[in-house]
Amino acid sequence: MKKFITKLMIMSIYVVLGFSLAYQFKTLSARNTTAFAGSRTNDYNILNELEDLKNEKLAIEQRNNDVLEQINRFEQSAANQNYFTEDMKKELDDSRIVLGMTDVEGQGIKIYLNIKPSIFNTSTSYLTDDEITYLLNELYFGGAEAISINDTRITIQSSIKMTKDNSNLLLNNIVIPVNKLITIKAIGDKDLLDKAVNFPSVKEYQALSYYDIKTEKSDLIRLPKYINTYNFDSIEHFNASK
Amino acid sequence: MKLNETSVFVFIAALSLGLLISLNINFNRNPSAAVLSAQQYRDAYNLRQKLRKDITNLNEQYYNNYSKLVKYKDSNSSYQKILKEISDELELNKLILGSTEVVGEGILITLEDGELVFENTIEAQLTNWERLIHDKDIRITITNLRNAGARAISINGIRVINTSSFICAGEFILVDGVKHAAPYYICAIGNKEVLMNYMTGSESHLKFMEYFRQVKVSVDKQDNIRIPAYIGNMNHKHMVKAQG
Repeated sequence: MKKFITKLMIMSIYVVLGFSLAYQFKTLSARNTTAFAGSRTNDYNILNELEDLKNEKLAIEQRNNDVLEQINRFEQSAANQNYFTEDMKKELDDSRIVLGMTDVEGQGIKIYLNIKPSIFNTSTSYLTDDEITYLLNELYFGGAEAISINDTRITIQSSIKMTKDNSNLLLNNIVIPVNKLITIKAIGDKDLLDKAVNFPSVKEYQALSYYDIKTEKSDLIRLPKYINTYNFDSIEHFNASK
Repeated sequence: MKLNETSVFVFIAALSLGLLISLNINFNRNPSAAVLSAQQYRDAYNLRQKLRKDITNLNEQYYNNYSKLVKYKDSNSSYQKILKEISDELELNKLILGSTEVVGEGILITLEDGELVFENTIEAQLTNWERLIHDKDIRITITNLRNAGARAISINGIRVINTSSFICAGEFILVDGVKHAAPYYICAIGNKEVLMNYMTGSESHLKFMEYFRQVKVSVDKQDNIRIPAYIGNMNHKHMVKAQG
């Protein structure tokens, strides 16, 4: 009996040891030692900074919205004075919507792009600006009125290119990793947009075939406004009398 | 002291276990609680860059909006002044929206199909495919012009707007549903030097078309390019200003 208890104790010690070794191995693997990992202090600093920056962004957005609300009240009071000004105000509001100067909402679709797991397939290819502009083109052909990628609004002055090392997408100078989930939202006729993306050849275009592409129709999609500033240099209205 | 095999194994196992536990226990709950993997650190770094850029842009927008509000609040501010502000902003918006005819310096790009080979071989078909201009070439050219800072663009005299699409239709390319055939004349207003350098750089798509596919490409700087207003329907049926 005593022998049996001793063996049981040894066995339990080995079980705990095995568990600890496995846990240690898992922790070390997760560190991904081939690439640079920040020191613990750096990690703590960057996480703290992220929190501060998020709060700062929320605060400036709130201040901006307050100012825009006041501007709108002044303009509305002027617009109420006569039909001419009312029309002009309507046209201005409309131009702000189309140019992406306000948050917009409406029916449409969400598209989720996620790289397929490549356990047995070593020839994975990541998407580039070519595939992204191809998808956007198909969506516009399907009648999209406004589009965002990872909540960054696409406008007529948006830049869509690759980073210098060709590894990630650079949208309005914001890095979009191509090995992570990419979410495209488009406002327009949801059925037409869904058809445009799910047309057989669309999902097979170049590197798109390496991605799981899921679409989701929605009755209400909200897109954020374009937060870059428009440039009006080098361009002016045509004046026939000049 | 009697030493047997089991005791030695138990001793080593217990020692290893003690070491592992002590290595993993952390009494200091402060900074070391946050340990990121390289991938998580990269994501955090990218997010930080994005947030910083967002804040810079939002501050710029806030400054512009606040300046406008100050003008409105000006004690001398009158209906006429507000009307002028509305009119001025609307005119600026129309410039880039595409609802008005515009002029400015820029570049003119001419794209023409290369010389075709009239042979009934697979090689000849592939060569001809490369020498033709496709919807992809137009799409990439327009994207590159926007990346280079073009303020207004037209193809064969048709204004390109934010929602314009370019789709292949046999020997034609549909630009917003309207058929166009080669040659394609693409006008772009913007800083002509910047546009020229960007579009004709050694790794540009136009150079690739010209040297590797023998498509006929020419790019010329212009001091005065005129681009017409968009003549299609710019109404939006489904999109409204978000509430709240």
